Amino acid sequence: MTYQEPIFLLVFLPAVLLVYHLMPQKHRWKVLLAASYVFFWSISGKMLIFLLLSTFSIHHFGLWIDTIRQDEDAVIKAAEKPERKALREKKKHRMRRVLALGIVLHIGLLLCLKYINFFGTNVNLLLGALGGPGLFPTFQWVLPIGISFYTMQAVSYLVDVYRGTAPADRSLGRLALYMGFFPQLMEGPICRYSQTAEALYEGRPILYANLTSGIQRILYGLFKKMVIADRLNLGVNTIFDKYPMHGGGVIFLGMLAYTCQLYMDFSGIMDVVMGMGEIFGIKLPENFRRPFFSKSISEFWTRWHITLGAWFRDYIYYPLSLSGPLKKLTTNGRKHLGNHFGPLMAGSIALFCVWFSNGLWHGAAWSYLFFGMYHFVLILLANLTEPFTRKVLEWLHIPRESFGYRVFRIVRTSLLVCVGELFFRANGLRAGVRMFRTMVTDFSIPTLKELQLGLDRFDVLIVVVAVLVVFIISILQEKEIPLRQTVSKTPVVVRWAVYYAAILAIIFFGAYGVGYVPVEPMYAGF
Amino acid sequence: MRKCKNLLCSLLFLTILVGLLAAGSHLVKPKNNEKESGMHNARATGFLTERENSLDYVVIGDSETYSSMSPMQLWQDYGYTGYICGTPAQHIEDTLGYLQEFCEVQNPKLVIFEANALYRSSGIQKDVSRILSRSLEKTLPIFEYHDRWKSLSASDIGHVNYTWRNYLKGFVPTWKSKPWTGESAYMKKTDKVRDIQQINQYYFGQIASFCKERNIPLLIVNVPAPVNWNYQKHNGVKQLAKSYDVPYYDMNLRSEKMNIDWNGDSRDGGDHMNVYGAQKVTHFLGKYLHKNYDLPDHRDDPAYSSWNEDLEKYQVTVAGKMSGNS
Repeated sequence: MTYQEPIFLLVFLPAVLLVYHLMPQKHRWKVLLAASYVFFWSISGKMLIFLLLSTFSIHHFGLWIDTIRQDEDAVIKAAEKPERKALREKKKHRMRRVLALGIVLHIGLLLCLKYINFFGTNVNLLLGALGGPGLFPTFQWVLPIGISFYTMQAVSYLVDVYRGTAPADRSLGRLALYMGFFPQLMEGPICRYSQTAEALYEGRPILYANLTSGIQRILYGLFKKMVIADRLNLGVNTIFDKYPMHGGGVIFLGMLAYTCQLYMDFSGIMDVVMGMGEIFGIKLPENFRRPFFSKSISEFWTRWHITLGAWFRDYIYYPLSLSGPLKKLTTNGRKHLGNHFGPLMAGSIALFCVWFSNGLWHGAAWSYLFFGMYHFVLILLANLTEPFTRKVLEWLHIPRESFGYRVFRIVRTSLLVCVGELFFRANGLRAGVRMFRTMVTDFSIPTLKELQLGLDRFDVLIVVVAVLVVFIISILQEKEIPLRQTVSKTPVVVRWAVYYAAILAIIFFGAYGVGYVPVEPMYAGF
Repeated sequence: MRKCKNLLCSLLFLTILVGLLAAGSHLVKPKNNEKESGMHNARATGFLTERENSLDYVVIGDSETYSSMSPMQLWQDYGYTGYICGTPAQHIEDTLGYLQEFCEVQNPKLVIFEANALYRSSGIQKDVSRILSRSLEKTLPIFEYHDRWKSLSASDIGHVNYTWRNYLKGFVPTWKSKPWTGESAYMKKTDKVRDIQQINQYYFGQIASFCKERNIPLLIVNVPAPVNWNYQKHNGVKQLAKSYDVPYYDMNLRSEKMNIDWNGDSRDGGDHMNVYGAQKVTHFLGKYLHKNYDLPDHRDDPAYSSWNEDLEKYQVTVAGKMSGNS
């Protein structure tokens, strides 16, 4: 059962909404929690145990940290002024030890389940190359769906409790719901405790306006996922799985098609998730903000998978940048290299850690690590060359905010992103390198047949029209035109006509059923 | 007041939506029962063009059915009329669906259920999901045939008119041969029982009840298929058959008696029969039916002359080719 399946949309979700609506407000969170566990069981079966373990564990660790804080605060309060500094240090030290234990347990479990085979295989290969026997066995186990997402939420909760930006929750139920709210279980968004926990527990009533607005958003998401992404799937698979048979032009096309597929799939499912949140009166954090209007790679990552980027920023980048050694490095750098290049060295170390983690987070494979490093290098290069770029633009009299230059930057950024996605999707790093080489050294204009990516002309027509629809909507959103509100204010006949058109477009033109391979939400695999 | 208005608005919206979906379903539903008209599993729906109440038996189940049993051979040898409603990897809820659809236009005197599908399951979660999706597709065919927008024509506004007759009556002859390389005595006796998924048991119960309500005898069979079958599964089906008081005839226990040659009678290494294996299975099944059921012989009945015409075609394309090859 996934978010785009009829059983979810037409049976599970309406049933949950109905029971939720009929339940007294104080018990509604129980309906959401029960529904979340039923949903998780339906996609991951017995793996539910890992989610339960994580939930129990952060509940325990959160309270542990809080108990230390309260105990030590009482001691500090009672102590003489000169002793307080040392006691505060002791408190911090004790809390930090518990936090570290909690993080190690969660990240350790994730590492164990997700990366142990990757690590073992590579060590064995290395040992084999040195003439020794392989040391590590490989394990055949299934990764619990959503573990990469809820582990991030678990860690963020513990750190926030440690920092004092979130309270240690005494209610296990509230924490369980924060960890397992069914719309965000498969692909996020990665929420912070302060963003959703209270609202989820509150049991807000289902309002007619929220219901219609949520359904609007769900329909838009389904349109992106089922009409565009799932239809492109066949063509993308054909090219990436049989890349040696294709020339550079076709691979270039495959690269664009895959990037489009990934965006429509992930952002489409996010729209569905946001829509469900809206219906329950929950404002989940946005994960996408029209990333292909970005003018730089840095900006792209503030528009694409926003909550992941924000997590890395808040829990890796800032703590590292503000750590003692890196602060010292920045100070020294400023002295010797000036205000631009000085802080770059320390920043780059933190940035490297972020992108190394980002690459690995996506999966245990060299191609994902390469993907992370690729973005690290692009951002680093942009930072390093910034003064040079500025001077060149001044010399050429090109205003930075001119339309032409903005379009150039958008196209350049999009192309760079697409190249990264080529490596991301390729069947291994070696295949990615070969595909890239073919694209660069053997580029030829694809024939009309090749342009169809193995799809029939009707499929191509639908994809083109649907992408245009999404593009136009994105432009309007970029111009901050409140499209949904505008539709809501139109006369009922027009409004309903738009809704019926959207529903029928999804049902008629969706790539599902006989003749299509069901495509699970792509990020659920990460 | 406002709540009431919202509720009424929602109901009206949904009513119009259902109406639109029903209209869309009518539009995209294939207007003929042939593959070219877009009908899914057209072969299994060939019974729709047979004369009403002219078929004496129906075979339901997965690909084992249409690979192993030839209704035209049964017609030739015994004068029995029947049809095979088997489809590839059929799930048991579809088996029930085909039986119900068949009985809307026919009044069979025997239902033969090939039991391999009883062990087909993708896990309870996926099974439930699939069953609900299938129910939706059956209620509103737009969900099954939505892709037909690519080939819609003016005639799709009209009514259905089924015209395609299948002279093979659902049988699919395959001439390929790939030997089964495992042990020929693959049915090793054991008391162990392979459990049948609860959902499949439920649907079998539905099939049994459906037959009982209509007074149609139900027979469970298994055709020889060493890749799929073993004694544990045999025991599982035997238990189920006993609990519903339905006869069970497992040909896997009789493959030697049937003279199945595992070097030449299977098309895919013991998964399915080829045309030579099917001839032996059908011959054996025919004898069993003749001995145990009172099915009428229609060979000299003028009302069934079309079956003799079909037999001529069958003899040219299948039987004749077989004797030529042997």
